[in-house]
Amino acid sequence: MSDKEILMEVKDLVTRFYTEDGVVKALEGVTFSLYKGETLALVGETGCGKSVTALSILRLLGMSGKTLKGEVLFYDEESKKRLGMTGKGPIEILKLESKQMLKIRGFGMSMITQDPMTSLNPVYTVGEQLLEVIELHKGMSGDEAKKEALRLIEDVELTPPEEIFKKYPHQLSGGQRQRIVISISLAAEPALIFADEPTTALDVTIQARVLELMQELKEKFQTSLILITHNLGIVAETSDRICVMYAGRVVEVADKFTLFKRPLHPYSQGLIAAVPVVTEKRDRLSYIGGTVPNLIHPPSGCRFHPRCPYATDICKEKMPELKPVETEDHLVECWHMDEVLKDLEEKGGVC
Amino acid sequence: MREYIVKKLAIAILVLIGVYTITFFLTFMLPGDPARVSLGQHGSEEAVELIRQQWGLDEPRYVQYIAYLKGFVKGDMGVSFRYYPREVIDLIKYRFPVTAYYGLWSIIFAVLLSIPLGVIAAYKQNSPFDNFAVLISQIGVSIPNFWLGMMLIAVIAVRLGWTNPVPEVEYGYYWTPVGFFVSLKDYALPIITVGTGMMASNTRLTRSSMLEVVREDYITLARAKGLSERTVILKHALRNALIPVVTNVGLQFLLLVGGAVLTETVFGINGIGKLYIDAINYRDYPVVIALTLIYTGGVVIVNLLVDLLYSKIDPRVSLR
Ligand SMILES: Nc1ncnc2c1ncn2[C@@H]1O[C@H](COP(=O)(O)OP(=O)(O)OP(=O)(O)O)[C@@H](O)[C@H]1O
Ligand code: SF4
Ligand SMILES: [Mg+2]
Repeated sequence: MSDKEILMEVKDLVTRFYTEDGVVKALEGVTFSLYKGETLALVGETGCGKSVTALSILRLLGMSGKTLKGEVLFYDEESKKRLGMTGKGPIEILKLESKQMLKIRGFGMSMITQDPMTSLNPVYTVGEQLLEVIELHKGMSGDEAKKEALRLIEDVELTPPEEIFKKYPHQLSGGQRQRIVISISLAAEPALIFADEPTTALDVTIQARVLELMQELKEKFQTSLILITHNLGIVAETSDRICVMYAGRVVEVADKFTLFKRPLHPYSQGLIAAVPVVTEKRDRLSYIGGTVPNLIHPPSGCRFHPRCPYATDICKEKMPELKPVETEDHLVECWHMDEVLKDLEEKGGVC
Repeated sequence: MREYIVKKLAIAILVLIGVYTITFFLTFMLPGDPARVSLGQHGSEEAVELIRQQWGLDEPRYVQYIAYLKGFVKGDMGVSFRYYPREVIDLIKYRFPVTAYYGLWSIIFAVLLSIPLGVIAAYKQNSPFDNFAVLISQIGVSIPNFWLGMMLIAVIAVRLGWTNPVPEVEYGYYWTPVGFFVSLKDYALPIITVGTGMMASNTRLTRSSMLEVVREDYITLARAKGLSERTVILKHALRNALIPVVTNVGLQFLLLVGGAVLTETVFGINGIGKLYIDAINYRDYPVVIALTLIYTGGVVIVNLLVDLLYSKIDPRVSLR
């Protein structure tokens, strides 16, 4: 892995939401890196901060959210050129002025939202919504821009493009709309795309094809993808590496095979074990006991300790840090890795 | 589209006939004989009887009903009792321009103020500006029009002397290109009186509608595209947020007529509202019936316009 080129480093992101009920400590030091051209899956229970991670990086948290701390280092050469940066260093996303950020969004990094039924503006045609990005980031206009839009529509396998171009979102099916959302986010060939549950709202039959299409286009444009999903089946099929989040922390990062075969963090172990395996006979589905923590008053120390079978006093007091375990690229944060590893020896693997 | 309009108009005719029937029998069921009212206490019986004959009041009800209906079909609204023998249509034509003038400005005032106010308030939710806008609209919707009107006269016209308590503009001048603006000074108080409530409710609606729309996924996607805040708000959010506001403004056109009765009484304006209330007091039934029908027609037309505007703003709406 280490020979791969880094596209983005996210370091110690701390994001808060200020609500009437209190301060939501949504991210408490999120750290991971992303390589060029790879698909990184962000997984974890609902509310663990997957979407907020994406929105923090895109700086689209809205009025109540704020990233207090952390760094996002973006190594995309095209984006640097667009910002007029000449030096060697990366773009420090969180330090950009909002005007500069407008040149990054859609151009350097873009987003595919979850629900195709609500992701497109109902009062503008598909064409109008596509042209916006093309005109903004590709400097095209008039016929040239339109031709480009038609080409993009064709890229996501919608025909006939001229017809689709003129349609309003409500005249298209869910799958067709999601293809349009994909073509909008790909329009400027960004280096990075966040896909937040891109297929959850689609029919199962369409899901597979849309995912395939995303993979194809991603390869074609050599885009990196951060795939946010609950569906470990999709993760297994499409991602290169996996980043497991728990209550606003990244608790484990590893390549896909390692994480599925030999998850080390007690939470990841529960998560992987919870996936029903068709080929194996099991008495009952494993599950992780306890409930998702409240992020207004999160547990102290390791946020997983109320649910963790290995928890001891130190877990309640101090937050562990991500450290390599077994290999350079397998990062885990846990005070009791030794015990976990010992248990694994005894059981001879997890799943 | 064409089909839709034709259908709507066909329904409108049925509605008009229904409204005519109801108003006709209601007015004629009111106590008080128009002929007697018009001659006063000291008119002789013979004189009253003579007038009754002249106005057709001695005929059976159904004959009168049909006679009026026939007239309306031909575009003849009959003759006023009170201003006999002046035609009802002439009275209305004469009184209409001034009501239309300050009414139109009230709406313009309300729309021009409320939409920016609502958009900015929503955009800066919970800021001092937002709190101020919310307070203003809260007050605006709760103040009764006639009270606001009297307060404005007392303070701005009488105490401060900034304008006349009662508009003093030559008849019709306000509809000349220059007069349209110059007369604003005289009509400012009635315009504010009528417009404030509308402005307040539109502000509230625009604000809440904007707050809802900016939470939509397509707004997040618009931002993720790299569009400027200005484009996101004014192009993507506003147009969606305006959909309910359009309906409200349409409704306000209709409320204008009810409001006109009070406003014109307070400000002594000789408009449609004054004509209406006087007609009721003087048992001037032809005028009452004609105005009610015109109002009904207005409702139909405004609804039609709102629908058309709707379908222009929101492509999901198809006119059928
Ligand atoms: N706009 C907001 N205001 C307040 N709290 C928020 C906001 N957005 C997210 N949160 C909170 O931040 C935490 C993380 O939310 P996030 O949406 O990132 O979860 P997620 O991992 O994407 O979950 P899901 O799988 O359900 O999408 C949650 O506790 C959520 O309630
Ligand atoms: S740090 Fe402690 S509580 Fe957290 S996962 Fe490890 S053993 Fe469990
Ligand atoms: Mg989410």
